Amino acid sequence: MHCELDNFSTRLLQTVIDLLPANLAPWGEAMLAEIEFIEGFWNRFFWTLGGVIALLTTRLRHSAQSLIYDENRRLDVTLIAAYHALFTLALFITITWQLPRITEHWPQALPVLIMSYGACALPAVLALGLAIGDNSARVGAIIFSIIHILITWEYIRRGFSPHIWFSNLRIVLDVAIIFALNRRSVREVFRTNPLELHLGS
Amino acid sequence: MADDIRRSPQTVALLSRLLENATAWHYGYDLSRQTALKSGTLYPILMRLSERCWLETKWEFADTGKPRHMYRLTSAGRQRARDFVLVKEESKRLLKPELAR
Repeated sequence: MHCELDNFSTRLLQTVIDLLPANLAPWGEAMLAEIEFIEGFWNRFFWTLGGVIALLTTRLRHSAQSLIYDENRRLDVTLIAAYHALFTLALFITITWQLPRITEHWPQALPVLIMSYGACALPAVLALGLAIGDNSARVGAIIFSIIHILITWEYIRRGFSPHIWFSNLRIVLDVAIIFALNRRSVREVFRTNPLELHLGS
Repeated sequence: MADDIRRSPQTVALLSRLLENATAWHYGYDLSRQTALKSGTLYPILMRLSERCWLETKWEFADTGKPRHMYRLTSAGRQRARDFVLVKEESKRLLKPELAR
């Protein structure tokens, strides 16, 4: 049992090392090398587990730093990403606010709720993509804005909108987003990462 | 890279330990035992110190023939670590009468 867990934790650390970028991998190798000199199963196990946590948190810290300190970051794209993140937040709050009013049985309501929360997360995914400069997120955000304009337009046309000025403002915002994300200077910042294919030998 | 090392008790403990034998090389597991820091706490600090050039690292083959990663304060790191530990001890000394009240 101990031997299996020993192997599992070592393999887990090795897997994490394989997934790490080149600048972090030596630190993982360093932790792995130390295992040989640690006596006692539990000491080794917790050393490995701590190593995995250390590597993952450092990887996260580096990712967060590169998101914040990216020299190519543009203010307009950052604002659009923030708008999308706020959009998700607003949808999440709206759905959560409605929870006490649900009259259906939970087994019936739960799948719909899960799907709704999943759909709400879409703008946040686009926000993340925009923040890391992913071109598919840029295209996705444009499509999302077009769909949003059409829905809002229909909403106004049918007279469902209690505040016409607010719906109009959202349409103007969406048009501005489409315009901003289509500008040449923005398109140049968003680079498509071509898939690299390597043929053996 | 900025010198924004957080003045945590763990960082002070590690720097104090490294300063005790400042020119010697140290193993990760030995540092962990001597400072009672778990690997999950020790290595992120070592990584930060290395990123800010306070620490130099090298691989060396142990007596068993297995490679081990070793750590030592750089000359600039030694000076900064001394200041760092000193400031921490000074602030602790100044805070103590306040806490005793």
